[in-house]
Amino acid sequence: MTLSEVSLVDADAGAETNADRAYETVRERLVMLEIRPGEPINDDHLAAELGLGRTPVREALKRLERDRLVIAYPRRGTFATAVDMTDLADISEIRKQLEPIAAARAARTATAEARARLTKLAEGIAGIDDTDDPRDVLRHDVRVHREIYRASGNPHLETILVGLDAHATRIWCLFLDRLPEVAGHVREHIGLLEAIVAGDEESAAALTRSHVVGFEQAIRALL
Amino acid sequence: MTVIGVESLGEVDLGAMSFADQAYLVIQDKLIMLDIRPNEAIVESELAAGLKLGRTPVREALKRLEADRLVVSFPRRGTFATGVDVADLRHISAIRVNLEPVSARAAADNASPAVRAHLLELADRTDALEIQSIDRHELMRWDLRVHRAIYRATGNPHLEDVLIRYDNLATRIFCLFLDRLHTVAQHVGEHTELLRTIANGDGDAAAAIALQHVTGFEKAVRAIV
Repeated sequence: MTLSEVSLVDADAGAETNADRAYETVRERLVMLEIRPGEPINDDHLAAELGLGRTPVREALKRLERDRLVIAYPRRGTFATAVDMTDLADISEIRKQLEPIAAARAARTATAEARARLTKLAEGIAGIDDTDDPRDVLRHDVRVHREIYRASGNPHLETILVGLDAHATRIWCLFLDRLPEVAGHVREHIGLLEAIVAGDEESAAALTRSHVVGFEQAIRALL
Repeated sequence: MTVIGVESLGEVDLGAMSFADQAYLVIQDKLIMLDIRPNEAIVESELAAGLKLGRTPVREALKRLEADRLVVSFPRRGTFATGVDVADLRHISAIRVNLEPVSARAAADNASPAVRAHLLELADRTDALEIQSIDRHELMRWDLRVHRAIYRATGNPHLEDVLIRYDNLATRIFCLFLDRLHTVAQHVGEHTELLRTIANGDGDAAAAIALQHVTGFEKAVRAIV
């Protein structure tokens, strides 16, 4: 499987302005911890590296600040936010409520095209091997979540959950070396995707709930 | 001028904020209170001149408001206040019905003694409001303020972010139907009970009241749409 298939950036085909491009690229680096928590972010360097102007990069950083992925201090500069373990409980509290609703709604209302996309994703996940690069595996996870949120047909729900998933994925990445079952965790989504495609609301909601709870417990077990 | 959100920031006053933050709060207030109507075109230069602010902070504020779904911009066509439709009301309610009870419960469980005292004070001040004679927009601003105090009391900044955004969108819809809603006074009055229940630490009861409050709002609006 190629990286382009699982990139976070291409999940958002609507990205068109330079600010959007800068946002998606820097966001992925922050989510996958290629920019480490607490690391300073120099907008000049970033602009040069991305081949973009400073204005779109600044705009992207403002958006990332609202996403709580970076933080700017007057006269000191901009930094990647820390990955704080109190975030785990805070984010889980919201995801436990909204993730099952999104999955159930997707099962109930997804279009035929969306169901076809979810079927294809399930096939892709089935091909994940335990020896695959865990970061690529996680990119799959992000992609699956995004497609489910989109299939829910509630754009507000989609925005909220995409934002929270970024924080959940950062926590995953932080513990990636100590979590041996990432591939297994992501393969759990096959049953969920199948339930959504089959229109089984109740199973979709129940599987999602146990997925979110399971994630929180897996991380807690390491703390 | 009263602007939504400023008081909820505690000791921070408008003068101490960046121009972009000021522009954000003032334009947000105009959008929620319908000084700028749904689907109305927003001309950056006029807005900047009206607020006596530069175009850069206004542009930055509009970007933020776009992320909040209060405005939408189209390439080559410009920026507009977002429209309001029935599907939107349903989508927004789906989120609030699920999260408002969680926030009421979290506030009841987690609030510090000082925060509980503050919530009780807000309850007393809500009781003292002359609801029948007060300006409707001031009443809506009060409503927002009470909700924000509860969101803050949850101690969950992610939850607070989401709920502020959706309370803003819901309140904008409320304002749209304000003249035809006869339950406004009752709606605001319900807060007193919610605030006191949270302050008393009764999570189950607080969640139930919050749920009733949100579903009551949706029913009232749907009945006249």
